[in-house]
Amino acid sequence: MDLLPTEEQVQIVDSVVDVLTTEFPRERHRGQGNECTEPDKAAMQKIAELGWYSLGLEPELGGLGYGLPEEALLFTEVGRHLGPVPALGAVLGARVASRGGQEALVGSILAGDTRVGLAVIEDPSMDCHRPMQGQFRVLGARGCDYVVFLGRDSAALLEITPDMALAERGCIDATVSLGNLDLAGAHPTFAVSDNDRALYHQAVILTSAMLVGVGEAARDMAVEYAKVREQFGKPIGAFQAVRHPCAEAAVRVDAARAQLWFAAVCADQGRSDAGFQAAASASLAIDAAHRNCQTNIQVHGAIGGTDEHDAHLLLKRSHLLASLFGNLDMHLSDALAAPLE
Amino acid sequence: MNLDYSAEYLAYQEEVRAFLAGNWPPKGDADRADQVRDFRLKAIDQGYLYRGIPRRFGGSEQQADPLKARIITEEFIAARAPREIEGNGISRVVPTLLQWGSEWQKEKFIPPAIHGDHIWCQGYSEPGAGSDLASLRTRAELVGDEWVINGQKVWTSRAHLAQYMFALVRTEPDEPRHAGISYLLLDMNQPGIEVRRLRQITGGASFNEVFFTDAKTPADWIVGERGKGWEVSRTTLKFERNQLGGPEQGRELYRKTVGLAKRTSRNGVQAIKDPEVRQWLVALEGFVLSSYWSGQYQFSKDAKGESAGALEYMNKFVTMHTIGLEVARIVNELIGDDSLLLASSVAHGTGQDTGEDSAVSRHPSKAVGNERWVNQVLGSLAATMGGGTSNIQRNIIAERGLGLPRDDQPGETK
Repeated sequence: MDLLPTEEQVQIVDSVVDVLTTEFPRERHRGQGNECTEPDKAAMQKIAELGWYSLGLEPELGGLGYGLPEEALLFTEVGRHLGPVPALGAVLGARVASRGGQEALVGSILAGDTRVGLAVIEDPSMDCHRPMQGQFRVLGARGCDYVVFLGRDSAALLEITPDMALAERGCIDATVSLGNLDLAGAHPTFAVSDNDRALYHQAVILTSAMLVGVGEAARDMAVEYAKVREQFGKPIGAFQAVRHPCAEAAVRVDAARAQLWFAAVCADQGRSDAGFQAAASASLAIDAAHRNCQTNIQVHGAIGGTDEHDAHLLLKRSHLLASLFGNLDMHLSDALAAPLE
Repeated sequence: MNLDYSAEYLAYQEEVRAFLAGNWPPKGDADRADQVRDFRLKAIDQGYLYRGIPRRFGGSEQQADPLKARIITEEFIAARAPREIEGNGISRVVPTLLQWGSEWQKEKFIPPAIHGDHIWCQGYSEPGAGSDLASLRTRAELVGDEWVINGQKVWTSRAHLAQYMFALVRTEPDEPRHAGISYLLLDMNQPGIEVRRLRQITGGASFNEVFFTDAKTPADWIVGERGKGWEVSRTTLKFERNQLGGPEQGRELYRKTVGLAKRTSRNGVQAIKDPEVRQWLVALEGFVLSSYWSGQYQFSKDAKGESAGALEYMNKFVTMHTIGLEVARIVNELIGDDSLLLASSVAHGTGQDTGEDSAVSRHPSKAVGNERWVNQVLGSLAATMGGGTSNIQRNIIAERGLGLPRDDQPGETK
């Protein structure tokens, strides 16, 4: 029993952080207003070459053979640095494709040649085998070739063809491209059953990982500012009205981070309580990210409410991720319904 | 305790209604701004607006009568007619000038301000002086017959539109904090002033940074004495203080939230039929109603010339913090993944730029679809900052309202 990252895992994190801070620094989003700052295909291919997409996939499928814990560590950093959300589309898309026995497609996604958008799932009880009806929001929609759908019990990939209505719309989180996909009974290109919900748990846990990263970044930003900003002749962190919210932010996100790691290990080992742990992880991560982002803005005062500062970018990212695969209420319901080990 | 008006006031209510029926909305296709201006002048003529301001300064100079003031407010809101201009410039600079200004200042500045001909902005906050306003550092030096101003202001709403600014500046650098500050008026249209717009997280841009580089204003554009600016700036409108605006707008916001719950679905049923949504809405309604009745209570105290005590300091906190944040949370739940969309008015760069500080008192922008509510969600976070953070509001309630000792403030001379 050891819930600390191994030396190898720490190295993975270090290399991911290195890439994010040099190739995709958070500052690139600053002051861009509502201009979409999502990386283009060439930039995303660099990520693919570094093995981000193949990290958790089995070697016989072209993967690096690590697991969900490593992927969770990776996506925590993606969240912290406001890195590219389409990376999650690629990871989940490759996984669904491998389940569907689509080897060529797996290879193409891992190489970054085929790009996969993420369907926002309002209702996780959707049956992905059935024709798809209605309007879906797709993240990473710009230039995507497929869209991945992940319900609780099934998943699907849908190839985007020129006759489909995928219209780009401004996203509240301008670091992500968003599309409106209007489907009138489209058959998925292929669908897979997910009876043990491993795919769904992976999706929920990696989304939670990004939220934990956002929540930690917000905590750090608030704390750093509280140390240097002076009012009434001292750093504002000396005032209880400021330091207490900072302490609460730290407590919240630390709990969420611990639960995330535990959930990742549980799901990786296929434990029977993986569903409960994943749902618990999501609910803690959503709460920690959202409230820490609010605290961060409040601690910063008016500057936090402007485009000049990154605080709002974190808030919008937390808002986006909180409803990616169901919302807080659904995760809590899942936790209530799930078996314990 | 009695909620009815007497016969005299019912007659007055009829009179106001008849006036509104005849004058608002305006007929004809004249420019909207001109119609609003004409309407206000007529309403002033009838004694309905700017009742505490003398006729010679453009007001209607009425005897103080809180009941009449309340009837006017209720009827004008119901008719959606233009009321007094409340942008923070006007609602702060006009009472200040009335109390402290010289005769020529009142004559020159008050009439065009209240008739909507001049826009004012407030130069208070600075990068280093937010909650701790008294630490401000923008300096003004008297050189001959002019003040020469250098420094920077920030969070200045409407600076990009305003003709004039009223500002707190440091004129007595050797005096301690508050005693070194003066209240100056200045013309925004001059080479020494540079305005840089700041974009908010909603994408709108209603406030600014203002840089002063040897900006100038005449020596006699000071209000009150040198070094008395802090005291001058504390002036608020005492005449017929009106507690209806915020709570009334809270009720309007509540009605809209209920409307949204009728138009959206949750767990496969109309959201308004979902038990959890109903609980949220009822709890919200409780806050909105208690805020409304608290307003009525404060009003009644005011009508008797009494103070409502700590309650007077709670209005903003309740409206912005308790109600504003809760509306945002509920709305966010109701609109589902529409909340991921950028409101289209913002996407096209127009923003919901009303120039007002408060997000909660503002109607959701006119973007089509549910995403217009997204700005309510984002704006509610900013609204807890504007015009004093929620923490500062808590301090005010604790200190002025409850008489608790002042927070530790080094350099405080009081």
